[in-house]
Amino acid sequence: MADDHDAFEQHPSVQDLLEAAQEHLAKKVVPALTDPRLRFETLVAAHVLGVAARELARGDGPARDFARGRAELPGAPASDAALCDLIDAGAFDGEAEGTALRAWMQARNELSLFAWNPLFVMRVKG
Amino acid sequence: MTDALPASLRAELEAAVTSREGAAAAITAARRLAGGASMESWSIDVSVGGRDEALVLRRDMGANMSAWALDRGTEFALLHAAVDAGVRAPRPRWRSADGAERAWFLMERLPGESVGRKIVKDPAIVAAGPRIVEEFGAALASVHAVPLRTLPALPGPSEERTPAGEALSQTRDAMRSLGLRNPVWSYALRWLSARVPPWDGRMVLVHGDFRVGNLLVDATGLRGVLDWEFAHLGDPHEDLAWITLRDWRFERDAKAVGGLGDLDAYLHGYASAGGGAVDRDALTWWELLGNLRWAVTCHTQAERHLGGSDRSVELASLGRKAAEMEWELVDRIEKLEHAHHGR
Repeated sequence: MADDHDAFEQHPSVQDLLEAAQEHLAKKVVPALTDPRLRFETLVAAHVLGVAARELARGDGPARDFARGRAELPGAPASDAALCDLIDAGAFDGEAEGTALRAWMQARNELSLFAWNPLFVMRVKG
Repeated sequence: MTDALPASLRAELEAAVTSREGAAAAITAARRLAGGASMESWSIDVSVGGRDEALVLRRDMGANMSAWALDRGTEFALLHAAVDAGVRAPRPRWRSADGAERAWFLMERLPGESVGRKIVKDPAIVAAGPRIVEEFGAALASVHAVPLRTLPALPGPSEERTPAGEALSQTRDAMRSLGLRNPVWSYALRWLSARVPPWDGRMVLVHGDFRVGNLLVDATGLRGVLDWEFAHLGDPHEDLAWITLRDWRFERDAKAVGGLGDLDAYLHGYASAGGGAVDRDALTWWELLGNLRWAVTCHTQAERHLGGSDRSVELASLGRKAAEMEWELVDRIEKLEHAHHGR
């Protein structure tokens, strides 16, 4: 008998399904295509399924962490729009404020890149 | 989508060439080329009065990437001026009639490869990389030397703005029209706005998209400069910097110029071919602005999909790709700040 927490657990998982569709496109459809444009777009479609699978696997924990980190920046912005307003008003022109902001933004960029292109950060940070 | 030339397009092209040449034109071969998101390209062989011509067709796909993008008629006239001035670029041959629903032109087909990922993996091209980037520099010098009086009307900075001021203003407008509030964009725009490099007043023809991907290359060197739709009048540093963006290195990160060679060889080529003085700080500034513009453009492209005007998985995916340029912006600014504060 299943526990409550997995009463609606699905098998295969949504990540499994996305990966299956990705593999199908990349390994079976792409080799059969001759139109270069369609071939390229199908490779992109396979790639975005991988992005979606990685993002789902990540869960929403990091998003909460970044919201907390943003609220600890000068001016305690509660949203990206509020942070942009503070930037526009010069609140991060100082050395210390700029350093804190860049660290927060870069950590968030790297989280986005983990889903989009996991090799990018590894490559550029060497 | 198909790789066969649509019969209606075939008839339109044959009729246009026949009428301009006064001799029967027949298309003998046509092959779709992998192209960009706003233009379709075909390799086309035409027999005109018994003479064979190897051509490329560039044709609108119905949506422009930018309000500053040239129409095909202007691009055709610009190519004429550039080739006549000695720029290594395909000679334009025929174009669609004014008012055509989807404008096109035919130009000479030059040899070489333009797909960036193939170029940086070709051993013979890679071996010739240092010389090829010198040729890139020399080619830009020739673009910047095209006499302005020979050009069709091109976009350029408004009277009260410098090229850098115009570029910042356009970037700000593009950010606003997207309606996205992105802290990296806001921070980079503010940082760049506070550090605009001095401008020496040199106003030149700027290609506007001079990078690997728009350059035909083989092991013998640069064969032709393609894709002139973003040409405008401006500061030569804008053109010189664009090819140095990390994204145009196609994962060959250590080779700053198109993943093929280094900056010194490239600038040596520019200077040797008569290009003017280059300010390295200005180059860095335009490179950073280039990253910001490319990030914003990626989202503009994604919006074409999201807004329904042009549904495409490629366009949708570009919105996520912007994170690569945003990472680069923060990393570069961090390093420049670090150096500035002597830490």
